[in-house]
This record gives sequence, structure tokens and C-alpha cells, in this order.
Amino acid sequence: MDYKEFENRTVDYLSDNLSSEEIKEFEAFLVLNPEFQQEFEATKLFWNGDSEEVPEPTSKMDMNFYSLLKAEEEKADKVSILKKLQNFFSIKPVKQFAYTLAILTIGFFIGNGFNKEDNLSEEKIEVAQKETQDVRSQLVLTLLDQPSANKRLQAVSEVNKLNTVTKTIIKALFSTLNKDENVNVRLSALEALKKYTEIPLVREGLISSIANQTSPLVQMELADLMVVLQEKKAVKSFEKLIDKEDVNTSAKEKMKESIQNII
Amino acid sequence: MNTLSDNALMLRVKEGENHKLGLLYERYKKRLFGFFYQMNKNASLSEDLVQNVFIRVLKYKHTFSEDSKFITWIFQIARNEIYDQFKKSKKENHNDIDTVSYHLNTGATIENEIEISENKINLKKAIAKLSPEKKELIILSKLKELKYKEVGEIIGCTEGTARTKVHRALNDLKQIYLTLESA
Repeated sequence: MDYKEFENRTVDYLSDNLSSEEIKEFEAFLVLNPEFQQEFEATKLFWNGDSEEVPEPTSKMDMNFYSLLKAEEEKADKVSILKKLQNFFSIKPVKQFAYTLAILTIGFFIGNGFNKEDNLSEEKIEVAQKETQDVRSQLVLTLLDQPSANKRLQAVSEVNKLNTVTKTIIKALFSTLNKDENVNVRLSALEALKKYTEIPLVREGLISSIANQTSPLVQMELADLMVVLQEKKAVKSFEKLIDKEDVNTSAKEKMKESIQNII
Repeated sequence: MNTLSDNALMLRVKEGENHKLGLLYERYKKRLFGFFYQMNKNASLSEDLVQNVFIRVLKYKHTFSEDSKFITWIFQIARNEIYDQFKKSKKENHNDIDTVSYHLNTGATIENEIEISENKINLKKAIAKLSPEKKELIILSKLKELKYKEVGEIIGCTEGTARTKVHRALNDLKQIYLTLESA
């Protein structure tokens, strides 16, 4: 190997562009020709430059990135309302429920007209409202079973229109929060459940859900919520997640911060 | 544990599963940050540039194809990002490299630290004087996953040309260093 070739090989060696055989050959050459060793060390110094002085990026970078991602996911959810409505009404069960709702509403007004003089009793209004609620609840449960994530998101937004929720709805929301494969759907289920935190069952469910979450976005959202609720029971679940290796570092930071704020 | 390849993850992102970008971010944030930091020596700016890269990834995700290799694709984006930033800072400040050298000269902390030898300071100065194109070539070639072929794909040339350019860049660095040493 002449000097020129040695010079070229050195750069190829440092940039990891040699085959394993060539590497062995080059290293053997260096051992046999110590006069080239010094030259090699000098080139290595140039090659490494000041790369060892690169600092670690801060957690602010992570927070910014995950906020960006969250904003992007929210934006994606707000696809044209018209398109959503079109999709929504193209599902067979939705069509059926829409008709039922329409008939119920018409029935309500007709009944109202007939009973004008009698001043429709509050009891009857309640019955009609209850029926509407029941239909809506059924609609939610049907939509939650749809394979499309968009439909499941619509299901959760239907929950927000309900005046009262049943145990079945709460159960369905928790099953979505814990098992749905789509993070957006999980997040919106969490959003819907936030309104019912005065129900002890919901609080318990939210705490036990912490351990089921793998998405940093959901983990961070739960961390925020637990601070608002000042839920001390959540601390253990967060600590377990913090100890796990495969949990996102920003989510860990957020959980640590929340633990501090809860205690 | 998720064992999906970078390419498979990016294809999922392309199909609308934006949250999968989180995994790619975790895999690439340090490499991208290191690349930017070595180019501009500004940690805060480098963090912003990493963020901008991922904004571009989302914006141009439709251009990623099954034939693309994620690492080369994302470093092409990173490269565009840094060139846009260079253009911007040139408009604001014409003496880019001089400023860096000035910082190095007046960095009292550097000179105060006994363990940092004069050679190291000269090397830093030489790197600061190296053109951004050449500096970039050396930084990219230092990444383990990037061979001459991938470096060529990123900068838009053949494998052979990339090799020649990397060799030249290193020689230039040596020359600048020797000039500084003899000065």
C-alpha cells in the first residue's frame, strides 16, 4: 500500500466504508507499519473534529414536538364537516337511527299540538326526552363498534350531546380508552370521560387506565387530568410507568411533574 | 416493543397515522440535533431546526415512497432546512463564519480551561472556517448508517463522487488547520 492509497483507505476506514475483510487488512497494515500509525492518529483527530462536544437536546424540544404532533392530530380530526356528515349518514344503522330520531321528534311536536289545551304534562316531555336519549345512546354504542376510526370518533362526539350517561356508555368509553388502536379515538374518549369525573366509578376507571396506556399523548393527558383532580391514588400508577424503560422520556417528565403537583 | 422499521413507520404516517411519527422522532432526534449542532454550534437553534424537520416531514409525507430510504429522505429534508436557515442568517448577518471565529477567539472560558490544548482550539477554528458544504459532508459521513452511497443520495451525486468529495473535505480541513498552526 503506497502513501496515497493509505491516505484514501484511512478516510474510508474512519467513515465505515470498508468491508470487514478490508478493515482487517487495513488494521494489519497499521500494525506492520508503525510509521503510518502516527499519520492515522492525526487523521482520526481531524475526522472526529469536535463532535464529542455535542450537548444533549433539552426536554423542551420533546415538549414542542409532541405539542406539534397533538395539534396535527387534532387538525386531521377536523376534516371537512360536510364530508363527515356525508360519511355519517351513509352508514346503514345511522340512517335507521336518524329516521327514528326524526319520527320521534315529529311525534313529539304532533303530540305537543294535540295537547296544547291540556298543557302537556312534564311527565310526557320527560318520556319523549328519555326516548331520544335512549336512541342516541344506542347510536353511540353502534358507532363505537365501527371499524373506521372516524366513525368511532363520531361516536364519542355523540356522547357529548347526551344529558345523562348510562353505565353502559361509561363502560363503552372505558373500553375505547383502554383498547382502541387509534390514539385520537382514545384521546377523545378521555376527553368525554373528563366530564363525568364526579362519578367515583369514572375516577377509579381513569386511574386504572393509566397502566394501559402506551401512547405518550394519552399518558400526558392523563397526567394533566390527575393534577386537576388531585387524585393521589394515581401516583403509584405513574411511578410504575416512569420505571418502565420503553416509556417516552417527555411523558415521563410530565408524569414526574404531575406527581409533584399532586403531592 | 415496537420493531417496525423506519420505512414501515413512515409509510404508516403517510397513510394518516400521524402518531407513529413519535417513534421516528425518538429514533432520530439525537442524530438530527447532532447534525445541526455541529453545523451551527447553536443548541437552541438546532432544537428549532429539528422541530422544523418534522413539520416538513408531515407536510411532505406524500412524497415518501416505498422505494425511499427513510434516513436519506429525512437527512435530505434536514439539509434543506439548514440551507434555508443559512440563507436567512446571511441576510441578517453577512459575517456568519467570522462571527463563529470571533466567538471562539473571545471565548475566555475556552482559553481558561487548561486541559483544552492549543491544537484543539486550532482544530475548532479550522472547522469553523471550513465551508458549510464540506463540513456537512464530514458530519454526514460520520453517521454510522450512512455510507458513501447514502451520502451521495442526500447531497445528490453518485457514490464515487461522494467519496471524492469527503476525501477532499477532510484534506481541506487539514490544510486550513496547518495554515492556522503556522500563522
